[in-house]
Amino acid sequence: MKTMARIPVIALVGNPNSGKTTIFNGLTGSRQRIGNWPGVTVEKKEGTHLSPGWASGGDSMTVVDLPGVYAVSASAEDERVARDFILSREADLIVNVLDATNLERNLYLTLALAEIGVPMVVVLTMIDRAHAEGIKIDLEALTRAIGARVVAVNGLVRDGVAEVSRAIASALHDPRPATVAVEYARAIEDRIATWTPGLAGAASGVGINATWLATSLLEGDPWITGYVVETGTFDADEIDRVRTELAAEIDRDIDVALADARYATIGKIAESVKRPARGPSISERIDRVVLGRFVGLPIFLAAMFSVFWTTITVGETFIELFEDLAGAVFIDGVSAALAALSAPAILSTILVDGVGTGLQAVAAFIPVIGLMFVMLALLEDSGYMARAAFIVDRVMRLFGLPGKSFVPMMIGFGCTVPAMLGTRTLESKRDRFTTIFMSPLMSCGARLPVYALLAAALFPGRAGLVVFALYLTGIALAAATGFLVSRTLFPGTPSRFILELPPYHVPRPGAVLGAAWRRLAAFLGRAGVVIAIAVAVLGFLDAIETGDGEQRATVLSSFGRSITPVFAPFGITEENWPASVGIVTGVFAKEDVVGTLTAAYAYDDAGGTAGDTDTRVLERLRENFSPAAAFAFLLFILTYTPCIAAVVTSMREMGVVLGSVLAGYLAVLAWAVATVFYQVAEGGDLAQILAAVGVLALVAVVFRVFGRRLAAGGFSRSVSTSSAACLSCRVPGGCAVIPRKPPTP
Amino acid sequence: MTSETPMELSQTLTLKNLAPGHSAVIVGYAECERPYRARLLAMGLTTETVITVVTRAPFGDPIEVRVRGYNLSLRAGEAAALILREIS
Repeated sequence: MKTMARIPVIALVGNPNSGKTTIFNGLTGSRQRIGNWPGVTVEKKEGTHLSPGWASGGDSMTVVDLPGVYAVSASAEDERVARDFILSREADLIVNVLDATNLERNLYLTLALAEIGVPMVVVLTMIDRAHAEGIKIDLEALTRAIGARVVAVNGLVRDGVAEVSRAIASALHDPRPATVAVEYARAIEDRIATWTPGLAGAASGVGINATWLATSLLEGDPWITGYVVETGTFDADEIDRVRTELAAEIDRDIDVALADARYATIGKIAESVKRPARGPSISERIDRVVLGRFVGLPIFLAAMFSVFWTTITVGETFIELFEDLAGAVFIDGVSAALAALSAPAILSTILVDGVGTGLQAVAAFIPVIGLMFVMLALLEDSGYMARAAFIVDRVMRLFGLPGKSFVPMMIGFGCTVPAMLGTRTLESKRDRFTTIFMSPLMSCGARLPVYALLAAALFPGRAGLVVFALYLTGIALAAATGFLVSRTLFPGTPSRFILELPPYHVPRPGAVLGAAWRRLAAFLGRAGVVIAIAVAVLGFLDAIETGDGEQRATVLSSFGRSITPVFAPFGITEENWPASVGIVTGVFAKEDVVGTLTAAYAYDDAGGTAGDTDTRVLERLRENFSPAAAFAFLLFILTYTPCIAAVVTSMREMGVVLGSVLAGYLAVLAWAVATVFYQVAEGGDLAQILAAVGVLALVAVVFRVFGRRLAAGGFSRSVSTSSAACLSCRVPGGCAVIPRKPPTP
Repeated sequence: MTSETPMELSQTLTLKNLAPGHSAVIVGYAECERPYRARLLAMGLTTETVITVVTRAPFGDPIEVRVRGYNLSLRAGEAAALILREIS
């Protein structure tokens, strides 16, 4: 029982699209800690709810928003997070959120929660939409049928939030599970009854209901089976024998029989709900047009293009504004303040050239990323996002990925960072990580200025074609990367495609801007600090002069010069050392390559020829690069290690090891691709070509070996590698699902 | 266009053979991976449930269906796990 001192924890559990997030935002307002990522998992959000008239037990509670799930058995990443939390019994109360327009399917999860025996209240959302559809719900009858407190709210209305708050408060005084019970077939009930007493020990170990444990064991839940075998209660053969016997006795698959019985119970509960018979809904009629054979693809391409176009063009116009604003505050403001305080020069170097420049670089990202989040939220809130994934699924499957992977990759054309964050919607780790590996190859907005500069210098009149060729090369390399890593590093079957298509509705400005703002705030809050620090360190190195007066040299540029030989195979000559310095500074922001090249050439050109700086830079570029070397250099810029912000994000999403593997892989790939192109086009050195191809082959081999080790460590937990038929699924672990450690009681 | 022999049509009906606007009843499950079937069962694709094809994606696959009052998309090949009986 909860003590007065402890802050109660409530968890929101419900299907995807059930309106859970709206309730969460309503309850917690701005008191959220978004993105509580324990290692590499799908997000679990936490916030604090202050209840206005809540007299006893304290006046605040912790609210946890779990990923939307359809059941408590987990086969995907997000489901695992939700299941582990529910079974951990960390929550004093589960708030089961149900979509009133879709009650039958939503109630399946309610039954599971009742069987597990967690204390709960039920919240019906989207009651307004249900009324509009002519659905009539007898709340009293529904409450009696479920055997738990039920409140019906329109989650967008303040009164609704207050009502949920009151229901939670009163349920916390007397927390109890729902009383509804499923009636299974006689033979199944008998087996559950036989197993239950023996499972009491194993059940108390994790603090869950022994009857539910027995039911899950019969159902063949791989994780529960693994756990029970681990505790030594039953051995695997024993469980298998009983299941085979039972299946023979009822003459059907046990899991199908259990689900049938549950939906029969739901049918009885749903008698309190009157749903008018209807023909095709408005959404279905829209789908028949929008997803049509001939217009479906053009509409899809137009939608994607508008996202891309709006983000790039509109976002880019604000980049300078944000850069200038941040510059005024963090650079001019800070230097003025330091000057007024007559602070030592070294302090100014650190704070202004280092941290100030770093923060300015982060600030420049804000408009593009913010706008991308707005466009994304528009697509999501309207319901078109799911349709986009639906349309491209057939094409994406060629690369071993589900249709849902397309969306984050599209975002990659704007910025790699939100692209990587966007992979969280994908179901399996394998699909997610493969997509993260591909996303940096979608040429981001920051690379565009580099292409523009070199193309203008060396391919005048054909600049557009060169840039287009680079974008296409990026897509081809992404496809090749997807092909490679999905077969070596992250092997396994792509996840099955089951995607709910929510009804269309007009995007709500509040919801869209709110969602975009929360994502942007999360990005700035978490990544911003790390980026600023990393950028500051590199900027600092670039600010320390080591030169002897003849030439400007910094720690960074000396380093760049010393590594020039590495880039020689793709046409970077020793005199062209600014190019290698550009490659180094490009690691912290791609657009920095341009600044580095222009600055370095300008300093190097100390003699001073006639003409303005821009013309001189173009001339110097023509002197230093042959067309083939320039294109090879651009191929390298396109492909190599993404900016520090993207690397940090990939590490946060996949872990430091895999993030480093990605950064290293892209550097090697870039070197090989640029070298092969340069040597074929101009150099003609067969040994270099062979070396590049050899390096790529080596990468494939290393990935394969590393992939095996990942798999051995239980990486592809959610993926069945055997093509096992359902019959063999009766064998515990027949689906090759590695049991996880049970949650701590 | 997929070529279906009359034999296949008369033996087992799967989602692939069901035209948009047509409905069928789920009779049972064929061989499939357990997590896939578990998810379909949880989402209400149980025995005797009515499933209606709404439309197909522009490339012909996946397929949008309506089941228990909501809309879902499945790949034709994977959804062969569902054994159907057409209703008029």
